[in-house]
Amino acid sequence: MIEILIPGLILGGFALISSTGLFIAAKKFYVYEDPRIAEVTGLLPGANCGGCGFAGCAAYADYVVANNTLNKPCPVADDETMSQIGALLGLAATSAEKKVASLMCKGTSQNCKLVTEYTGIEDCWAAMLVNDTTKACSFSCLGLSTCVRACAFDAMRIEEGIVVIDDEKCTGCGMCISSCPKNILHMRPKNKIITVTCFNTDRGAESRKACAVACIGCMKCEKACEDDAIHVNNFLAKIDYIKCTLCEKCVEACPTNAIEIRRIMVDAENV
Amino acid sequence: MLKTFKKGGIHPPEEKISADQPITCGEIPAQLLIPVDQHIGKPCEIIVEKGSVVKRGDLVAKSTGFISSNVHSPVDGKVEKIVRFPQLGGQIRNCVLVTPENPGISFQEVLNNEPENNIDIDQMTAEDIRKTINEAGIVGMGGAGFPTHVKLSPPPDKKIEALIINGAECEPYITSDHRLMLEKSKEILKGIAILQQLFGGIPIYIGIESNKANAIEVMERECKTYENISVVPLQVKYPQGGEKQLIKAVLNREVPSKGLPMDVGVVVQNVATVLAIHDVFYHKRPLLERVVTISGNLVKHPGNILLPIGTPVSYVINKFEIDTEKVRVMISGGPMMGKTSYSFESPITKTTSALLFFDESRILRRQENPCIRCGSCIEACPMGLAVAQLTEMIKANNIATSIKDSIMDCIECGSCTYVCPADRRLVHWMRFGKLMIKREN
Amino acid sequence: MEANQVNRLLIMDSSPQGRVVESTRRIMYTVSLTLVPALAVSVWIFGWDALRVIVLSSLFCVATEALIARFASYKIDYMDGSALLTGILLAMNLPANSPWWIIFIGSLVAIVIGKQVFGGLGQNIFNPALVARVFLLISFPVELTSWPVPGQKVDAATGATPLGILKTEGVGALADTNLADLAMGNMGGSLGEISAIALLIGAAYMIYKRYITWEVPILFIGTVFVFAGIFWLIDPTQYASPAFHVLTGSVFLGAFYMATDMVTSPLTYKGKLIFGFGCGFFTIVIRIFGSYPEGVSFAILLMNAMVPLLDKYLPDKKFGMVKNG
Repeated sequence: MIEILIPGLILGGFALISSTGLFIAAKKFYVYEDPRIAEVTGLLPGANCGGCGFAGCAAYADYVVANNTLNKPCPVADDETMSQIGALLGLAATSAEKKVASLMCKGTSQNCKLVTEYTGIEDCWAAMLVNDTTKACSFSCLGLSTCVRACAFDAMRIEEGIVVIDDEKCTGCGMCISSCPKNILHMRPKNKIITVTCFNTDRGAESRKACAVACIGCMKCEKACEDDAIHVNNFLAKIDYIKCTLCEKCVEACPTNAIEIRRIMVDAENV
Repeated sequence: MLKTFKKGGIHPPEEKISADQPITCGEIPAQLLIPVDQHIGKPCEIIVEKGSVVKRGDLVAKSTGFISSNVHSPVDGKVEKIVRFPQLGGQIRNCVLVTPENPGISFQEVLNNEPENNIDIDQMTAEDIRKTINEAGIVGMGGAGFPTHVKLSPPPDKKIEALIINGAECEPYITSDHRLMLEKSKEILKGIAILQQLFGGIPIYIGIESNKANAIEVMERECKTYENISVVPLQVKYPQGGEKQLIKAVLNREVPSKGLPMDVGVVVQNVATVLAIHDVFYHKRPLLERVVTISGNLVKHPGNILLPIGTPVSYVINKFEIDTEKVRVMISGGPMMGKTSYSFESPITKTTSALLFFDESRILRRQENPCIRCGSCIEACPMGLAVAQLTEMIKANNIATSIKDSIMDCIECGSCTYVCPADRRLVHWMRFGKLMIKREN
Repeated sequence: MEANQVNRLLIMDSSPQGRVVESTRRIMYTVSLTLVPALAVSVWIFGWDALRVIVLSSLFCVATEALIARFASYKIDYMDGSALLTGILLAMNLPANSPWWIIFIGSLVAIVIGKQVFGGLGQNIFNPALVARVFLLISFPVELTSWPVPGQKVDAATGATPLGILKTEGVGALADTNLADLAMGNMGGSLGEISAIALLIGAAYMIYKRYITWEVPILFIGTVFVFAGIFWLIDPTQYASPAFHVLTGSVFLGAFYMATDMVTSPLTYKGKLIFGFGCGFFTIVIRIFGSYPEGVSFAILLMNAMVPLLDKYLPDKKFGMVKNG
């Protein structure tokens, strides 16, 4: 009997001491954390993309609850999520203008010929260490998937040598923008589906020789636009999305098909 | 026992197949594309425009800061236009397209028409020398292109105790410095004397690898007429010509990590740069041309040719009858540290020491295989870096503070990649790591 | 100005352009070849059974890797010789009378658990052949310790190895073992344990080709010798001689082929010294104080676990490291 009693007492004693210690510690070192922070973190998409400007979803939740404000909406969360968060905090939900990433290049293997065979590390920054371009146009997309790897939402893929963005999956977080060494990924409002898919500032004749669908800076789009929404600078057209009314006159006017309408990719209601 | 650096190093086949070919002179090509970005530092500002008439030696692009370098026109001619064009090495930069007045005449004639200039070295001050070198647009012609006047202006707290002239030419195939030492030894020594005057009479060592025995002999003979200038024969090992390795071999001093040669009281200059310095003072000629080795397994008659800056590669291809259908790799510089290029119209720059043309048999095996931790790269690294571990961390995007110094110490010599049995592009990873560190800041 | 008027594109890549002829495949197959003398001795001593084990082991290992290659998310080159080498080394750790299913399970464990779960070639921490051997030893102790008597061509009688005799019956029973016999391989044991001389021939070639360096093998064998010697000097009636310890068991195989495995041994010089010492030390400790007669496999696996630590905290001296002043 005693052989059971003594170990039992010893172990029981240990258990008592440890649990007392834990209890004291829990009380003494208790940090109050607003339980809403955990709830908000749970509601957020959880990609930790940094699109809000904070270090992750938890940091964003911290900010939102501490300051009780939704003045910096999460660009990735949809309207329903934002209104749920708003309800939790007793605030009106706001949502940011939905933006998506857009590639200013249509230099596919058909349109823009390769000038060299690059056999180094498959990364756009690594390739820039070796040469400025692998295609005839020196502004073209390298197609080595650095942005594809940067995207946390699986919204990008490589097709025919350039990046193709899925507008539905793209949440506009902005992580791919800084990952491009050629600076040809830019944000645009999701519902403004007309884009100039070129970034070439060389003279018209040179751009045209480099790529079949290059912007040659002929200014026909600028003349066709009745809303003062497209301008040519340095032989490159650029759309002012605030003024653009999606009338598509520039698309018809462009002789090289450098302006694209992204019909297929967007929800018809948002147009 | 010949001097050398102890750590690492490899012995690639020397392939000095053009070593016995004397320097020839080409003709002025039909067009010259003068690049304005031939150096380390701020790019130049172009000061000519379409239609400008230029004479040989005229400034076409101005230096824009302390670490920058002037660019001059090597021929009389007219500026056609300013273009952006792919350079040797793949970068797309601005060039001045010049149509020479007399295309097709021998370049030797142009050189022969130049006046000789007598100078009195003892009367020149250090400031004068630096200023003249700066205005002449002289940069390190071994390949790096660092503006020479900057190297020759160490801050006052760094006392320079010795000058080393780099005649090692450790890269396979390249023989331009070798031929310069054989044919222009007197001029080189005169140029060295100018530098000796600049630094106030310090000892000068000329490091030459032992595979250039005739050059060692010739230079030793010339040195006899000078005081405190000597030749140091060196063991043949790559990268003997790397600054840090050269200083270690000649003076047994190690440049500290993250440091520069001036931290151990030394300045290193390439032989061709010294010859250019001589030309500035004795011929009043800024840096306008250089000797380029044309070699590789596709060149039937490899040689060394003096070319004006801005000569397109196509001129060389025609002159040496290279079959462009067979060319698969074109390298400017040596195979270990040189850059590949894709355009046959790219121009020669101040730092192009060689043009190498190779076919299919020299293509790298394409696929990177997993690292098997064999340690060959670590053995080969002349800087003693743990290459295998560093590149694995760079690849995993895991650049900790503790390894940043090691990555920045890499001299990108290529020894590690050369010996790697798994075909890993180690130098590319190291350069990628350096870029990531720079982007973070 | 056109970039090029030719049809073929030039290749662009980072410097350097040019490589040595050496490749991963060459290294693996060459190391496999250096084991041929030892394999030949084992066939001579144990007969065709030995050949059966070698062939089955190699086949199963390569086949396992080929199967995994179909499903892995990363590229596996199952013909690069590393699976073959693992198969040969596994065979050398097994007795000649191993049933086929032992070899099969061993190959599976070696390739799957010992190598591929870590991420493939170059990623494993533990030596795959040793992982398999230890797994089999602990799971099937009977099959792994019934050693065939040398000199037979048919697997009829089984007997203990010299180390086994040492553990169970003490030094006295070893009175008539001849050191020369041990060196030449005329003793019981696994395929690879027996001929130190045959292994030395292969190892010499590997050292010549600089696949392995002297630090780990010399320190391993030296430490075994020294520590065995210390105990032997204390009491020669209880402890066997250092020469005996060095020539029996898989000390030679372990020192030259298992501990020096590129993937699982340290990259730094000081790391290699500690590694070699540690392997030797733990071998003697397990042999003398542990309940297993043979300690090499466990010792090497223990030291394999320490390799990342050794590599991190014992770096080589860089060029230009100045003392802080």
